[in-house]
Amino acid sequence: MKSLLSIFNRGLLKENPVFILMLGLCSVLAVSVSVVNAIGMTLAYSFVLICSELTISSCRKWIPKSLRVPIFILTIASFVTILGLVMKAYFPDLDKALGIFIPLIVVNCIIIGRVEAFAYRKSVIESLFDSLGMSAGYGIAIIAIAVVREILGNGTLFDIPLFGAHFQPALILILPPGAFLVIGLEIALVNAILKKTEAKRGTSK
Amino acid sequence: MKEILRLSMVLAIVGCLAGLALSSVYSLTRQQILFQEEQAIFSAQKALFPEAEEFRPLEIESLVLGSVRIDSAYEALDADKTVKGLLINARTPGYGGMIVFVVGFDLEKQLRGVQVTSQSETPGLGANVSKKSFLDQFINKSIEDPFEVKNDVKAITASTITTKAIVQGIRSSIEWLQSNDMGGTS
Amino acid sequence: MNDLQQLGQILLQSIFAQNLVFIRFLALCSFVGLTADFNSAVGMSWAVTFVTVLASAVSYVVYHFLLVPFNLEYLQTITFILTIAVFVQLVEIYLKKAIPSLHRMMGIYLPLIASNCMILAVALLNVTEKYNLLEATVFSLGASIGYALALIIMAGIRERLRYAKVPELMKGYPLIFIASAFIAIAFMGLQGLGR
Repeated sequence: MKSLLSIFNRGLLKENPVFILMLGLCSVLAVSVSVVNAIGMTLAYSFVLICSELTISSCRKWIPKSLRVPIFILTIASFVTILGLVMKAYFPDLDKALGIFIPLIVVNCIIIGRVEAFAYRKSVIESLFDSLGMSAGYGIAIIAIAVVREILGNGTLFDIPLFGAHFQPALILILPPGAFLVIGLEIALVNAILKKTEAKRGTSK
Repeated sequence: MKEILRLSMVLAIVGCLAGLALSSVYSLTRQQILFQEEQAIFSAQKALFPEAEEFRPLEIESLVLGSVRIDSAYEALDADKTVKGLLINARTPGYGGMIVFVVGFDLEKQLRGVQVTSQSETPGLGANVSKKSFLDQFINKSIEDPFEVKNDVKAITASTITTKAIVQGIRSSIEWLQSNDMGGTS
Repeated sequence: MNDLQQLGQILLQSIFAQNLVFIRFLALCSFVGLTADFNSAVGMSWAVTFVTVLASAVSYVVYHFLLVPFNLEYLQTITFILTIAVFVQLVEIYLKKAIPSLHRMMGIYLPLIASNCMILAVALLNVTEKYNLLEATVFSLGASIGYALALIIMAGIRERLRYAKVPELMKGYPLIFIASAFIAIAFMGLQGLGR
């Protein structure tokens, strides 16, 4: 059980797909304009990652090595298409808000990378924890950015105005440059935190 | 040779499984998706004609007037199936993309109003084109007004391009209406 | 607005006002990963342009002659990605045999392109924006030029930054993103271009 938890934690912090591995940035920057959308994107992304890892992991014995990349792509793309159809049918507003970034989940480097490096080689249970960890890591990152952008850039949180009618939000934050600014600063922050914890671990040894 | 055969078999099986899964999900969700698409237009049109029970589509070809594209037109029918007015769905190029909107016309040469269904204008500036505070000015406006920004139409603060776009869209819709001989009482 | 004006507008908008990297947030992985060296930026730009323009034309044909007639539009994501992946493979093999000089210039970047979200995005946008074949080609050309512009600007900036005094925390990625923020502001200023 301990090793399973450590697999989960890896995806969350040490190998956080967005802040550490620098993968899947496109959706993170584009969808982080509102926290609601960020949560929706996380759920969509998690669905595809978890289903893909579980499917590939449970079938890994039958997948010939030379065919693995096309099969990975087929599997991931199928889940993305299923997700897209279900969203258009039951969550059309979210579908419109996330737009092109739902089909783009297919080429999200994290998913293909995880499936190749992990799901294809490890057991189903381990893959489950890995996909959960990576999804949580992605979620934390995109929501962390969205919180800053929405509160300071729009004056709202979950579309609820926070500051009253006379608050003039920093509009730049919900525009493209704001996305780059916030993620740049947050990565610097993460680096600072990592450095501090490493220093502590160094001195306490 | 045997290897290639085996590989092709595996690929074919995976392809079939994927195809099966996808087509089942598709057939299960198709009706709901169509319903959602109709709802999107329906709710905007209902906002302009709350008394309408049905919106009957008119057989028109989507056409382009200048930079504005007219997508579709509907008649608003109330519970007794009497025509209460006409709606035009159109799109006009705004600052950050196409602004998709609906214009409602009643039978007395007046606008019922305008609803914006989709836009990607600058938040806080051009995006206010969807707000009531801007769109209310079009309620009960006569179609014979000049529709000039600043004099006749109040512009959105610091967003002349967006304002001009939507006004052009409304003007083209009126133009289409009149050229199709529906500008007066029907 | 006649056709030529329409095409010009699509081209200018996709390079500047709706730049795929700075405004639409696409192809960011390669943008961050391949701009450390000026030559890789140029090589990747060539590869991306080549594949994007051709792949979008191929995807267009596949969509309109294979998917639409059979009411299979919902398969567009899966078809496009498979088409692009196969296309990239074929291009690599062909270039190696037929035009080795070109292969030397951009060959190593071709496998990286399969997971470049911009190419799939362009194929999908051609469908949502309802472009015809000519408009789609112009759009993909503009997108690629915008991408090349982004990569080259960033590579140039990174080269300069190597000699600048940077606070420890900001070294590397944070600074790249903040620099991108300013470039994005500049591109946003060009939004009126192409009206």
